[in-house]
Amino acid sequence: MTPAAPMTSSSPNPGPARRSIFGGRSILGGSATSTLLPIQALHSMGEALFSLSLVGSLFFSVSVDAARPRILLFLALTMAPFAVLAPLIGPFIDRLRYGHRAVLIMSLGGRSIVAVLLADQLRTLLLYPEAFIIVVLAKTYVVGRNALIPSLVDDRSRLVVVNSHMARVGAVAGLTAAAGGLVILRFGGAPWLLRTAGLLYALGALSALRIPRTDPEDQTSLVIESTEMHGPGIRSATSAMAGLRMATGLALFHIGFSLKTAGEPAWLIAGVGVTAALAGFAGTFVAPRLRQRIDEQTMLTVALLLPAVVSGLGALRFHSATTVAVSAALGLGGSIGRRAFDGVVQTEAPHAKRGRSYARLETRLELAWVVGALLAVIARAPDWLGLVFLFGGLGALAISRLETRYTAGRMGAEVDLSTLPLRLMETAEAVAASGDRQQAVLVAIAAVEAAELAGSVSSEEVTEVRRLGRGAAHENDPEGEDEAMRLAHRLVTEGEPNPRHPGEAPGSLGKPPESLG
Amino acid sequence: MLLAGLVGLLGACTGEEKRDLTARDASIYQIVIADLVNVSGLAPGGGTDEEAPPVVFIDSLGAVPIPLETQVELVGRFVETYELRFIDDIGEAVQIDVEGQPVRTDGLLLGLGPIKIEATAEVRGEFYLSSDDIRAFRYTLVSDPNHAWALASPPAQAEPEGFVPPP
Repeated sequence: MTPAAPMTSSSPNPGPARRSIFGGRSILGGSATSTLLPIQALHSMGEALFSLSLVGSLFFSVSVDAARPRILLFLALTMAPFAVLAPLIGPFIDRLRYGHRAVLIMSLGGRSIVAVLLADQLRTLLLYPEAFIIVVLAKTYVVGRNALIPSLVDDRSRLVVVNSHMARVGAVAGLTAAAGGLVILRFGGAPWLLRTAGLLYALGALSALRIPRTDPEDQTSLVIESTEMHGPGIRSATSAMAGLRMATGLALFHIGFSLKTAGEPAWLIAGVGVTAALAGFAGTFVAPRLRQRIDEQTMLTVALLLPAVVSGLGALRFHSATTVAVSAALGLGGSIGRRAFDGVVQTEAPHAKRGRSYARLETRLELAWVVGALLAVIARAPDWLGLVFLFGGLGALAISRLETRYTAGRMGAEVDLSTLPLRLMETAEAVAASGDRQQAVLVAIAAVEAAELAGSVSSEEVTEVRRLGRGAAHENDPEGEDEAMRLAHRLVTEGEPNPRHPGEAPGSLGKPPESLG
Repeated sequence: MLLAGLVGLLGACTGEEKRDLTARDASIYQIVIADLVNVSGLAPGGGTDEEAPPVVFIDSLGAVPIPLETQVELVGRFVETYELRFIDDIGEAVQIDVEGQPVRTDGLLLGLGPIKIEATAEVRGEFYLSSDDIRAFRYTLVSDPNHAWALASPPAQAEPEGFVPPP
């Protein structure tokens, strides 16, 4: 999925990187991202202890029907910060040198305070608002972290690897904390779990002070970044990921309610969560192997199909084992989907570094989770029906992706590939004439890629144009952009006749541009 | 911060009157639960730190569930002796597939009816240990000038309505 890691300036030893599930500095792609590791570990440990503490809370003592209006209210309030505040304060945070670092500190510090307060409120009605504040702050952390990582990664091609290592560190730390949490629960009770979680969150907030500042004056064109982030590939991947997140939110509440109503013990409900975490951890290893066989968009379809099929089978006979299987499938699918999603963003938005671009995507994903959870609480469907809903929703999304892919493939086959590169090159030169050099280079790269599809340009030549174009865009180098445009023009206009259309010779655009704009 | 503000606002909206009603209902139900548990013979926990208190499942016999605030108040009042768990479905408390359909975790299942308040408070209570051991009672309670509730008379035995034994 990713090329071999280039040595970064932070890698003093040119020898091979040590293989570790935690990842080393060189594997993570720079010391800037490695500062996030302990923060991620402390966040995950705190989350594990917080989740475990709910076993000893009112959630399992009061009836679901009586608590439903309150859960609905707070889930709806959970949406507010993401739906209303994020779009308003996102650009502001982006402009601050320590904006995203401040978000992480606020999230961890806030949870530290609320967790300690909650320790004395587990059996009072304050449980609901305080627990949901922790949920909101945890989601804010995820959005902030995922928005921060791209700006800290030295080499963009390492984005998927860095995100994978973050996920692994989170899973290992969370599972370790959960095991330790069982001992605390046995001897100290749920309040001490929360006090410990509060301490871990506080340590996380302190660690977050070490995150280096990001450069708010990024030179990448807003147009390029926006064009890349709104491309069809990213849009399609985002909708698939949103579907998976929605399914996760729905399954969490549906399975939790169903198991409680079936009289299953709290440890089993906790076990379902642990299974999902383990499956997610396994997914970080499965995804790279899967990527060697299929592309990221297909991986996303597989990630949707897997839990859809397991939910469909589970609906035939709802049982505690079924719920474990469904949560494992969702954990694995979610993890594979996440790696594929990161891969799509890395490939299709190579210039996007602004936190707000990522924050927008992540906010949509978190909102999808909340919507899924709301659906589960509102519907309060019979156990088997909830799984049918998961099967139908995820299955429909997967089938629509397959159908779109098939249609696009057929349309692509019908397009006259011999003229497409020329038309794209004409567009690139028109864009260049209008003054947007970076956008022009992007379109020129697309023209060369189309020429490669038509068989008139080799993949090495495409790589060369990409290298020149991206390098020039990254460094804001007008001469480099001119060079990339000239090379693209030459390849598109002087390429060999298309072997699939032997009768058609490529057209001509006249003389190559001397200079852009 | 916005969320905290909204939460505070919601808290302020919870009126004094509602809190009084919750305390009144919880006091009435507390007496009924204590009596039903006593009649069933389920020993309270809390004797040693090692053992968790026995579980008492509670089902609402009325058309609407017992309000969340009352449930929370009752859970708090019994926390030292019994673990109260309010349920939505009888399968949550009873092992339906096991012969005799006993209560899970060797616990007890109680059914509490709605409270009818006139000069006195009347409430129906039932307990269920297994399909062969179901009993129901009608409770009449009175309040003294300090709003403390007590049984007006010994509970009257009644026919089970909430937990009907199999024919």
